[in-house]
Amino acid sequence: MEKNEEKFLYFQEAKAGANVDADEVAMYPLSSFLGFDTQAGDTNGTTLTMRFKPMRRSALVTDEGAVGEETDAMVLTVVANSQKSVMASILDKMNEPFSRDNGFIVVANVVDSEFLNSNITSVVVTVRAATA
Amino acid sequence: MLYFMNASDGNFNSSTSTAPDAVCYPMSKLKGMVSKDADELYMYFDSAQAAGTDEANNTSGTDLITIEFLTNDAHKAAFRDIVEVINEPNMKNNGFAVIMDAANSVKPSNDIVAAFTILTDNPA
Repeated sequence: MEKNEEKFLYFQEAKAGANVDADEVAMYPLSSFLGFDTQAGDTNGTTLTMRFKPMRRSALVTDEGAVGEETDAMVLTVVANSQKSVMASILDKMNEPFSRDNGFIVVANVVDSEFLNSNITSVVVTVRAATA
Repeated sequence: MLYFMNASDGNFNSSTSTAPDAVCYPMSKLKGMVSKDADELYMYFDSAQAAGTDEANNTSGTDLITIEFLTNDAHKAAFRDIVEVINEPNMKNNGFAVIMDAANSVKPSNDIVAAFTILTDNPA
């Protein structure tokens, strides 16, 4: 049987209301991470998307929805054209020994102004619906 | 394995097919966690019973654990406390991580409420 040991990536966007609401905080096991990409059409060069296997969807979903809707997406706002250094620092954290973080990695927490890299300034959490 | 038991009387005798008293999942079946509202969070797992092969029925293919905590907006602490239990050394629990056990008053932290819900997805 597999070990439980796993790293987790934590994201918290700004609160829309007085308190945290649905889908404003999300956390994924590292094994659900699919990769980074930069937003097509972002002429300011200030976004970096981290994509994850969608936590609410099952293999039963046959309607994949529109382009890009097949994954959960954490869209980071970053200092213009700093994507490479941000990706490198996130990978550093992913590969750090467990003894450093006990498997809990805060990538972006807007509410507490806590960011893994100083070039990250915000995040928008998008958790896809169970069906498209 | 991640263990959840929500029957405070300790009896494994739920009569509801979608709400068993106890579930236990391999860590690899944990899909993620998300805020539900100011003082609750969801944990999503790949469904143990509806594995995505029953296309004739409108099943979601996910099982859902809902956990409540006392302090509004304390999601980060709750998430971190759950991760700490998951990542306890194997030598301590032999890979059997008890996340919530209402029968034995086991929970990740004092801020997390003992009562919680289990909702499994069942093929029809």
